[in-house]
Amino acid sequence: MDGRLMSDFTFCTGQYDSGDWDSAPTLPANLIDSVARYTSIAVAPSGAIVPLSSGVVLEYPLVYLTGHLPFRFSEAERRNVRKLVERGGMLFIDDHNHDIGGVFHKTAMEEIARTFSQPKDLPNDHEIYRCFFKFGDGPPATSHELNGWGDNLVHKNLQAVMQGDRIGVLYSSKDYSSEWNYSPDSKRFSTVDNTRFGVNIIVYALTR
Amino acid sequence: MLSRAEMRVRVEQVLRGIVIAAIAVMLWQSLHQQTDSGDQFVSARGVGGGALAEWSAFAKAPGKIHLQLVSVPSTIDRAWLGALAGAGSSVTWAGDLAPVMIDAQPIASPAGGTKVIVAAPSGSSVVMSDDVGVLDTVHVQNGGAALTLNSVADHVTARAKGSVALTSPRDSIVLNKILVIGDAGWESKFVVAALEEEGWKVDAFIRVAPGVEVSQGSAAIDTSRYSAVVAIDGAAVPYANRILEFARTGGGVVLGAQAAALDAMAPLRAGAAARATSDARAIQAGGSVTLATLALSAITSLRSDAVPVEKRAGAVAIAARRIAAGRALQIGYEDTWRWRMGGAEGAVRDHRLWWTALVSSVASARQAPREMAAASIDEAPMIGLVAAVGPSASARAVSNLSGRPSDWMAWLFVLLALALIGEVTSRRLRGAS
Repeated sequence: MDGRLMSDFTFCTGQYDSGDWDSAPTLPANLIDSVARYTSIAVAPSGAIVPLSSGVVLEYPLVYLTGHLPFRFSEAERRNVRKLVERGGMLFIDDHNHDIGGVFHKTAMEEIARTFSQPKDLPNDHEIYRCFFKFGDGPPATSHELNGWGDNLVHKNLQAVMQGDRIGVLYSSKDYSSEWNYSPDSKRFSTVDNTRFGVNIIVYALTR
Repeated sequence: MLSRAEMRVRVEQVLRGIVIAAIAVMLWQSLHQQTDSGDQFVSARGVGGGALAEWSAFAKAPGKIHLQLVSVPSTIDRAWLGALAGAGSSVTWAGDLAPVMIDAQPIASPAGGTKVIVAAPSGSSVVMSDDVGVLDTVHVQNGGAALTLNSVADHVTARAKGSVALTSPRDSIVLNKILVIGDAGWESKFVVAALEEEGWKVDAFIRVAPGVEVSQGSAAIDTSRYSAVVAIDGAAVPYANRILEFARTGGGVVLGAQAAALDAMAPLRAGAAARATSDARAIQAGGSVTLATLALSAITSLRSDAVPVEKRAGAVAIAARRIAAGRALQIGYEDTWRWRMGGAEGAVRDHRLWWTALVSSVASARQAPREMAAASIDEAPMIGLVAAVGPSASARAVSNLSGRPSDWMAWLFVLLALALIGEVTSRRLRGAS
């Protein structure tokens, strides 16, 4: 395969105009490290940052979005993300505030409902919790939840907008953006790698 | 040396001989016609109006029948003409009729449909119809044309220049599942999605990690389970021998560009896979993605039993070959998912139809014969006409060939009269009685 064109998976962070889209800058490298560590998926060594208003975002069928501030799509952004999901791509949106009373959560939920439909709770036996690593209780809790920060809740479910029988938009209030936002080198200090669920999200997006 | 008077007597004797011979021939012809009506010549424009029954009611069939046709006679009329020819009549025909042939085969696709193939002279226009009405007009090039119909009534007809060919799809088909084998990646995902959206039942072996597959389906790859296998990339290598055996026993195989480049797939591929000509991402930056802008690993060094199916700028993009009872298709296009995601409006549909057409072209499908009335089928009317009474003869050739009795009898009478007048005049002028 040497010298041949490879369609490596590239982790994509979506850049939107309204807020702090880059609030978890080391998360992509951490998830890329995990994908390379645990799977045989051909993964690009560095991620991509792509404006949602650009058609280039359609080159990346999995797009990660996060932030703390009000979250609004421009018309071009809305058109592109809608096209991305309708054509088989997936958005993963995580509330970096871990606060269902916060502005990111409120505005993001409004935008998702306006662009797609109202997200619904994803059952904790959904395929995304067992497509690679097994998570019998649904989405793994984050240290921010357990420490009582943000909304002081441990969210039992993720939310999703389904496209047929697959997830088109995955929404998390659990603040994985804080949980996974560290240097991959620091994993050696952990007994259990907390990014494993991130691997599941990527495997699910690549296979369903 | 004869004198002038002797020469004149000799000429008179010759003229007298011509007169006697002509009278003898005319007498013989007259007697022959009275005893044998089979030498009658019949010329007709078509076989309508009870003409066939009339000719068949003669004590003996007409000796010669020439038809000037504006349309090919029906199956029954052709058989009737063949019977007249078999009974001893010389049946000829002429007419500007197009030789049209039609065939209809079910498409191996969950969406169903029928592929109608027409053969007709190049440049002609053929009107296609079914029981409901006109479907389309196809313009024939290189002797043939094809039409894909999503649904079709019991009969399909092709009509051109007096010929009406009629057929009916003979079989329905029973499709099995499609197996897609690939690494976890966008190409595998979107090939599965495209096929499922088109209605195929798809099993997938998607390799996620060494020894870990997201599998759905049976490890036994045989034609009782699968109609076709799509091998995307290196994940298919462990299955190479089973895929080859599957093809040999009648299964269809589609080899993606990355899979085709692997040595393990050599027995299946149609040719060598060259390096990709361009990076699809670089192309895409300039506009929306199409099949023409995808990176291409051209198929080179085609095997002797392989045929190019599609070319791009002179390079073979898709090639096919038979493998014993099965078929294999090798694709040179890389990362076709980029077309689906980054193409213009309709790209999802185009990508889906493209993939389903590839799979359909190789998929094995059991054929289940449909009940049909064979008598109503007339797939090649012109061939039927030629088989019954022979090829067309031009009117001039027919005229020369048949030699109508009245024509040459008239000329014989003129000859007789001239010879008689010459002989009598000569004798009178020299004073003989």
